[in-house]
Amino acid sequence: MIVPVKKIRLLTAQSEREVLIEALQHENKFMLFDYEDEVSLPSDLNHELKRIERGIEVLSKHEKKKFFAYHEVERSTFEKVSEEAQSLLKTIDSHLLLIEKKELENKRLEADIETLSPYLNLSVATKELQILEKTRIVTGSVALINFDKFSSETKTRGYIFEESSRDDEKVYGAFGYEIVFESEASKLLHAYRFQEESLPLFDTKLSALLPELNEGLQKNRDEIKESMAALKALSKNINVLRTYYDFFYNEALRKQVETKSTERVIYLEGWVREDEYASFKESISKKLELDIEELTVSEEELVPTATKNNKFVRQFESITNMFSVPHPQEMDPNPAMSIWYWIIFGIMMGDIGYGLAMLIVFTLFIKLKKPKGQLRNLAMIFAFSSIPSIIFGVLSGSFFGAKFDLLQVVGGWFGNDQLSAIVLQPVDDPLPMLIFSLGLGVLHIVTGLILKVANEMRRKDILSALADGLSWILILVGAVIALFGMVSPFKFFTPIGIGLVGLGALLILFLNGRKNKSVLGKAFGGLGGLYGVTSYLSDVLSYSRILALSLSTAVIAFTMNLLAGMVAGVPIVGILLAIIVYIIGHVFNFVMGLLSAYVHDGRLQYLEFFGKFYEGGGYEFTPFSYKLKYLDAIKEKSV
Amino acid sequence: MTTGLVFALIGAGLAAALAGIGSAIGVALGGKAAAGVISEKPELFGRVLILQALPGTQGIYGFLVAILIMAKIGMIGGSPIALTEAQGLGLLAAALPIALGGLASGIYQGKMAAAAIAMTAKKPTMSARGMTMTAIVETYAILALLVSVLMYVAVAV
Repeated sequence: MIVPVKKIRLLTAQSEREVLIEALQHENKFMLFDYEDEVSLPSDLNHELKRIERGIEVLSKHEKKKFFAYHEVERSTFEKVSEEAQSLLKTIDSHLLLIEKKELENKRLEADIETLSPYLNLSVATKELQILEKTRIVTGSVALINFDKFSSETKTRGYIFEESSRDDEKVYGAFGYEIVFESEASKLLHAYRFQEESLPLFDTKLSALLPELNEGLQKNRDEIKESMAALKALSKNINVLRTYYDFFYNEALRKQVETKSTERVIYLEGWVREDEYASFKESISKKLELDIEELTVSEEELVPTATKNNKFVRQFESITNMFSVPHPQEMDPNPAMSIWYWIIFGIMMGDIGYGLAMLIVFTLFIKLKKPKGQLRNLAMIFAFSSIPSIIFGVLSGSFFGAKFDLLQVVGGWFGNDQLSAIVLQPVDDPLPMLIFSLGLGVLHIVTGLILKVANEMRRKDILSALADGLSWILILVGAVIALFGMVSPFKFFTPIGIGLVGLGALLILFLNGRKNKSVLGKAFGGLGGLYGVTSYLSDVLSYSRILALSLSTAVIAFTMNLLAGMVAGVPIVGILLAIIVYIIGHVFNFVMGLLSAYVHDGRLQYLEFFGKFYEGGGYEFTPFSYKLKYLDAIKEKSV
Repeated sequence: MTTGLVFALIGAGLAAALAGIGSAIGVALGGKAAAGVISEKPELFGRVLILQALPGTQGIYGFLVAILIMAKIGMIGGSPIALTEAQGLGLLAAALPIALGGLASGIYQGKMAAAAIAMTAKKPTMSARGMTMTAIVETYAILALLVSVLMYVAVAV
């Protein structure tokens, strides 16, 4: 049912601005006039949100993972979280900074150790090498094959080379000379391709340096570990950050609300559902002093669409909204759509076992995980649809692809094994199932047409109701009656059916061209209308997908059972293999079946059903409210 | 083994193979588009995955008909029946609609799925419409499957 929506203006003193907006967010009943689903926040607020997110990410690494995590806080905690969270964030940031700094230091130390390692046998400190006045000492390496010659020439010329270490290719060490011989010495070095390497500067002698460096490294590592441990200890406070994120985000949302103002008052315009108007007025007046003005809605203005349906129908609204949100002036398609979606979904799954699986899996999912929004709706739809799935599973006698005749089993207990609950067998005898599917399709389409008639009557357009709605109802129902007459012994049904078809055709012939001006236009309009019969034919045939899907679910389940049976013959591990094949196979089929049923059921609703009557083009009534990312709920104080 | 049995097996093979090829190409076309989208918007993974999976059904339909035929001629879960040539050719004919229909519709549904995935990337809220449009292509695979199944039922063994 579509509920009318009122346009109102709220006025209050300038000083009360924040109180008003917070009250509106709390009330969750007022839709802002320029509502946007995605609010872009200024960069400083975004920056802070990122900072909180990083804190949550860091802490969640240490948090014990719970699959069914549910976070709920009291409102009082929610509103006072700021201070605690700020200090927590500060601690986290300081730890992160320390870790980052120490890691950088260690990286440098490790690099130093690597460059120094060939020279660690030299008995000088690198800093001392720099302050010599008359001699110069350079550190570096010479290729091993040249070393003997280099070393002898060094000796004969009176320079010094102290070897520190050597590997397969090079000899490392320090080369010393007096500065006065600088040019000759560098010629020698050049001739032997001496690779000079400048070492990091330390006060300690190279031979004593390594333990010192290692000690520094270890100390930094310990400090990092300590900070990590501190973060781990903090991780039990992670919910403070989660709460703070949501608090901060919602505060930011409030800041983005634009109020208009005059000299003394500020005002906000927006929508309220008529059925909630009184309670809204009452509860918001308690929170602050304000005036509420009711505004008139102009003809051209598109009012948001608010719907009010029972718990069952409400779940299916998201499916309609994915197609298009109902227009506020038209009839709510959800009650009719929900029942059809529910039934067709169940038939497409059509298996007792899968039905039970849907019931158990999705009920548990809803109870334990408590999903929100569309995900919750979808889970509810799947859980609801388990019922027709089980019923249809009984009628087709299928339990995870194995044959299971409920009535025969029950009858067997009472000593009567002649009973059978199996009415339709998509695999063994698909024809009756095909007729059933198409018949269901006719009923579905007729429901759509009845809604079309109702919609046109609401608009007081009786001719349209007759030409586009009733005429096709007569043709479809007439055709079914005529067919029934032909195949059954009740031959007299055939002329009745043909009569109804003729009546419908006449309605179209006379009325379809009514909007055309010329006589010729009217005549062709009528004939053109009759051409619509092809689209109705293809619409009805489209329902054969119900058979196709229930067939594919059943045959794949049957195949999986067969495969499991085949591997069960393998010696020793056979049973284990069979169980694995059975479980994987049925989980695959279950998931694919859900996906196919979801898509094709949706298609039948969108094209075949909605195509007959539904216009849509509205937009949803979405009140200004809390948007929670990490929290699942804010617990109100029980009054 | 009779020649009729061989014909029936060829039919089962064609149904599974050709429809499978169609689905494989279709799913790959969708997958390529999906991978591109996810690199920019990883949060859309669920939505594009569903769209990518849609052209996969033709392969399942072909597989389904293959299993039905093999079960009917006793190649699985029984002992092979001595089919006449006419019966074998009849089952081969029954396999052709889903084999060919599945091949072509799988590929084209994949192209449609890729377009719907691109649309979802720009407007995530439109993914349901993309799904519906993609499912329209599948109608013809379903009709082909239907004809296959009806022919399969009609061939008396």
